[in-house]
Amino acid sequence: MAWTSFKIWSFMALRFILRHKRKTIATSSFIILGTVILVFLHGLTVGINDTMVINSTRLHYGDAFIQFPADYENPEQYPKLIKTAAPVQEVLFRSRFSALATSVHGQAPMVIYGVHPDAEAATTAIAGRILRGAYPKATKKEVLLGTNTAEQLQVAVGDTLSILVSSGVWLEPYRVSGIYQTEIPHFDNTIAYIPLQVLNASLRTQSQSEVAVFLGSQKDLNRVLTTLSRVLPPEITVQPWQSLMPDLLQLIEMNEIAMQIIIFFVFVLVGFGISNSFVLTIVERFREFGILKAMGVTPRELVGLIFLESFLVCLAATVLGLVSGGIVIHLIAQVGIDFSSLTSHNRYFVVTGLVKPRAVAASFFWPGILSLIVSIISSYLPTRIAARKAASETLRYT
Amino acid sequence: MTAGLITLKDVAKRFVSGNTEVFAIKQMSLTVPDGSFWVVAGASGSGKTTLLNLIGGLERPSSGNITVGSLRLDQMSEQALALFRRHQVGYIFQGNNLISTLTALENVEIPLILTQVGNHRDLAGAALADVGLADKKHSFPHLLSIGEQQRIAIARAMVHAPAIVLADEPTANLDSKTGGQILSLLRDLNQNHGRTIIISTHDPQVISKHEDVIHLADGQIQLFSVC
Repeated sequence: MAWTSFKIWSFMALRFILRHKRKTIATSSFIILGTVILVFLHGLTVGINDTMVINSTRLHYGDAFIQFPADYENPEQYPKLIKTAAPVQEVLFRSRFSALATSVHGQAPMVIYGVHPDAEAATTAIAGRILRGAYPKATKKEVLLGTNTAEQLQVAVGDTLSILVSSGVWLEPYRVSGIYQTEIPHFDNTIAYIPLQVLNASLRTQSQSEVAVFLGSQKDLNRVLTTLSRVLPPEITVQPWQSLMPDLLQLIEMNEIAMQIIIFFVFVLVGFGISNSFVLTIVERFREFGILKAMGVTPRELVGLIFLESFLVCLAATVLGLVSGGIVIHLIAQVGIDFSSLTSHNRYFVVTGLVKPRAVAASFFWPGILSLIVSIISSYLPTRIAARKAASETLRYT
Repeated sequence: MTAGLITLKDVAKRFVSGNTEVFAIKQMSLTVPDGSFWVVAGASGSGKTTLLNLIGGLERPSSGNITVGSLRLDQMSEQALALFRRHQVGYIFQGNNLISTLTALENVEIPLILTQVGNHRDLAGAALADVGLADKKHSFPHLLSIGEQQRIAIARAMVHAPAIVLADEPTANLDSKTGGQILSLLRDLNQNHGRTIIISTHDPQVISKHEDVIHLADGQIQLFSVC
């Protein structure tokens, strides 16, 4: 009996929805627009976060970072192992040590990374930030300096530096192959790169071994971390970028909160629009409801009918809005939105200012739920008005 | 289906608008026998529509009792009144009777859908044929003349075989020929199907053709000419 009634009312609701095309389209438009905005804003938030992560991880540290204990045996074997076991884009091995660089004009403390220049240049963003000169050649005693270090030492490309390692050992002179600028003081003041291949064996054992893991996509991070914890020895810990850069994580969380507040206000506005549209639609149909009441439709059935109509319109419009939102994100992600001019002095956009909106499950789930709830709440008040009005009163509407 | 006797006892209906209080019906008592054809006559504002609405359960009396058969309408809930209308009453309003977004057939189907009659499409088609509009069943109301719309309203009012048919000025805005057809349909419904028909009108021609007439003025019965 209940199913029969539901079928009858669904049939009537569908018939009214299809026949009131203009009103259905007007109401649906608000819901579709609101849902598209919500999906897009969420996708944009994810895209901005992605860009911030890329800008931070691509510069040097990678998406995950491994630091080996001092004197660890043969740490250079692990990049190959990691590449085989996990879905990563690149794994870079580095040797780090502190040193004092001396030029004809001055001295400067530095943190020097012994690296594989070709892989580093192809993977990290430092090569793209070289102002003068080039990345060091793998087989030559060359060094890449930050712009502030070069200024402090008053050296240019082609000049020679003497390097005193903290253990008291003097290295053979290194030629300045290039000078980079990230506008991040920590890098520009202290970080220098030399080819790992030309570093003598004793210094390599004294220095700190590190591995930086770079991913093709952030969505692989958890999978890669799980795999690495399985394949690496237990004494080696893998740190994701979140623990390396807690300030970035906090910034991302704040960005998400800010966007959620914006999304809330956007939907409050859209909710008013939807409610207004429902009120107009229902008031215009007062006489129709009066006729139905006169024919014996009970107040409860009328509420059910209007509510079912509203629900079906909301559901269809929400689904359409979600699909449209997904399409909008997909299309905009093809070209991206360039924030470079707005973020030139923001350290989190040092690699690229291009934001590519990205939809994740939450981009559809929460907007879908929110849109449906707001739409249904918006339809409640006019439905109540229509159901409560006496039939004789609604019949006076023309 | 029979509704039984319709009885109004000391019924009053008061409308309040701001500080103004208007009595549309004043202390009215009357009895309408089952299966009768009554005409409620009177000028505009005399209380005809309110009387029909009270009998049909669309309005509640401010005081007094209304009984249809064994049902006390003045004591029933909105839900119960709706079910009473669904099963026992057929309504014909003064113009603009139909749901504009539904076809003629769909309009006539509604009472059958509400009463959960199985073959509602066939029955609605047959009802339209009875009022001579079988060929208009897929037309929307705005494509039909006022007379045709009224005939569809009659088909809709009778399709689920209600005991009472209430028609508020069914011939208003119609030419005399079409008005005559409408009245013939209603009379046929009364004579051949035993329905209780109550119509309101201020048309002297309609009034003159009927014997059971109540004349209203200012919400009161002025003349009671019932055979």
